[in-house]
Amino acid sequence: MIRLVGVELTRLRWRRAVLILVALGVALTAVVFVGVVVDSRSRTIEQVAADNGPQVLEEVARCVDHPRQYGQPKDAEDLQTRCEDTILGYYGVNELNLREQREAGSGPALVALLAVILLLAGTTFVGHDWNTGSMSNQLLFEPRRLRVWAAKAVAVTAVTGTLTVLVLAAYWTGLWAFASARGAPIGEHAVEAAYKQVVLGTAFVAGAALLGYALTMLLRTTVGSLGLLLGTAFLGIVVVWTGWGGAESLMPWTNFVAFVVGGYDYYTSGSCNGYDCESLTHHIGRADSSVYFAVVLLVVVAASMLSFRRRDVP
Amino acid sequence: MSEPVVEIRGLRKEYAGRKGRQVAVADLDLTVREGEVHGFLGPNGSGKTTTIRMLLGLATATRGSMALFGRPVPQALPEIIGKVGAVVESPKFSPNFTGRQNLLLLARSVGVPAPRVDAAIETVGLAGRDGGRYKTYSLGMKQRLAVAATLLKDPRLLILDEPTNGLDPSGIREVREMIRGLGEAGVTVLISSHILAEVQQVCTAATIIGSGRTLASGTVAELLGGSTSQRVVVPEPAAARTALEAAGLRVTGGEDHALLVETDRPADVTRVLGEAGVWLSELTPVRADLEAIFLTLTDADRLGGPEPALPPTAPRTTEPAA
Repeated sequence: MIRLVGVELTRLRWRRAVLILVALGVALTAVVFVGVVVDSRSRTIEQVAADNGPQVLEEVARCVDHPRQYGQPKDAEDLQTRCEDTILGYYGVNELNLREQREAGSGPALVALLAVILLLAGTTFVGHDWNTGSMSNQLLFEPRRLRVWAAKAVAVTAVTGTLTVLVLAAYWTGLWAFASARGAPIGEHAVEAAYKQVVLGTAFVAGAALLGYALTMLLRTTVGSLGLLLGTAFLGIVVVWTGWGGAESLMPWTNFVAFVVGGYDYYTSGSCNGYDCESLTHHIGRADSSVYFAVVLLVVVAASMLSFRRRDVP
Repeated sequence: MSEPVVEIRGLRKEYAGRKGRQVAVADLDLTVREGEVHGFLGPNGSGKTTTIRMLLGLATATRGSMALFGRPVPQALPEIIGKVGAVVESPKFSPNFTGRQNLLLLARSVGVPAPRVDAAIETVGLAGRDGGRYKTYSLGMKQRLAVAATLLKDPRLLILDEPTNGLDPSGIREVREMIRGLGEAGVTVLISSHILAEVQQVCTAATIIGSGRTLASGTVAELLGGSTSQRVVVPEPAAARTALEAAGLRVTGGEDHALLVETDRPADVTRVLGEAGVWLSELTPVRADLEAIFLTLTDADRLGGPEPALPPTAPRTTEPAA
C-alpha cells in the first residue's frame, strides 16, 4: 500500500495540470495577502484627501459638527480622531484586524478559493487516468481495485492537505507579523483562533479535493464531475430563490461559513399579524455543518469505491 | 501433455443495452497449455477482447469459470498478476509523460527496480526515444512501449491483443521474432490477431471463435491436419475422376483439366492414374492455411449455414452457431 501511495504521489507530481493548479493556489493566496496588507496600511486623512479630493476633509468637519449622525458620542474627547477613523473607513482604509479577517474577511474567502482550486486538482488528476485509458493499464499491474482507489485518495488528500496547511499557516503568520509590526491591536486569542481556522480550513480543502477525486472515480470524467457540481450549485440557487425556509440550512455556502467561522445565522419570516411579521432566527453550528459535509463526503466516497470495485474498466 | 496455463470454461458475458441484453461472449471454452504460442482468432466483434479483459479482471463475467496457472480468476489475480504481461487493445499510457516515466510508474507499483525498465526499453528498441513524451510517439513506438510494459514483470504468460496493429512490415517482423523468441524461452503466449499468416507463422496452437463461442481449437497442425490435397492436371479429366473415385478418393474441380484430390499421399494418385492409363501432366500438393480454415468456420458461423467441411483431424469443440 505504501508503495502504491508513493507511485500515486509521483504521478501527482508529474501531472502538469495539477502543478499548474497548485501554483495558482499559492499565487492567488499571495495576491490576497498583498491586497489585505496594502488595503490595511496606515494612511492619514490628509493622504486620503490628496487622493480623493477636498470632500474628505469636509466630511470630517461635518462629523465633528454633527457627531451623532456619524454614530459618535457628542462629548468625546477624541472626537476629531474618531471622526477621521470613521471617514477613513468610508474610503476603505481600515486597520488590519485579525478577527475581522478571520470571521468575515479574507480567511473564509481564501479557504473557499483553495477548496475550489484543489477540488479541481483532485478531479483532473484522476480524470486524466480515465480519459487516457491508463487506468486499465494500472490495474494490469495492481488488480486490487480498492487498494488502487485508496492509494490515489491518500495521495490526493495528503498533497492537498499539506499544501493547504502550509499556505494558510504562512498567510496567518504573515498577517499576524504585519499587524504586530504596525502596532495594530490584536485581540486576545486572535492568533489561536486564526490557527484554528488553518486546521479547519485544511480539513475542508482536503475534503473538497477528496470529494472531487471520488466523484470523478464514480463518473469517470472530469467534465461530468464538474458539471454535476455546477448543476447542484445551480439547483441550490433555484431552491433558495423559491423561498423554501429550509433551503439555507442545506446550502454548501452557509454550511461552509458555519464550519470555517464557527456558526452562521439566517432569518426567515414567521407568522404575520397584519403588517407586523415575526422574524425567526436560525443558527447553523459547526457541529451541524460537520455532519452535513461528512454525510456528503461519505455518500460520494462509498458510491465511488463500490462502483470502482464492481464496474468494468474500459 | 503440459499443464494448462489458461483455462476458460463456459464463459459468458452479457451487457445490458437499450435493446435489451446483448451477449458478447457465449459459453466460450479456451485452453492454453504451458509453452504454447496460442493464436486466439475471430472476426471483429466475436468476443476476443472481451474474453481477454475478463481474464485480466478488467471486466466481470456473467457466468463461467476462468483460471490462470490453475488459480481461479479474478479471485487469485493479485497473487498471479506478477506472472502475466498483457497488452489489451491499443496501448494506454499518459500522453504527457515520457515513455520512460510511464514505465517507471508501472514498475514501481510492483516493486520492479529501475534497471529493469532500462532493459525493457532496450529490448523493444526504444532506447534513445524513451525521453520523448508518449503523445509524440508513432503508433509503432506506442506498441513497442506497451510490449516493454509487459516485459517489466518477467512474465510466464504473455497476452497480446492485436500486437502488430499499426506496425510497419519491419515492426511486424520484429514483434513476430520477439514472440517466437519468448515462446522458445518457455513463455506461454496468447495472441489475438487478425493477421492469420502471422499467427500461422508463430503459433503452435490456435482457438477460433465466432459470435462469442468457440468454433475450433487445437494445435495448428491439428487444425490444418489432413487438409492437404493434390492438384493434378491430366489430359482426360473425366477418365481420371472416374478412376480416382473408384479408388475411394474424393475429387473436386475439373476445369482446365485440373482436379483436386483430397489425400495427403501423392503416390496414391500416381498409382491409381497409372493403372487407369491416365498420365499426369502436373501434380502439386495443396495445403490449406489457417486463413482458409478461419474463413470456412467463421463464414459458416456468420451465415448460420451448415457445418463446414473441416479437415477430418481438426478438432471442433462446439457446434457452429445455428
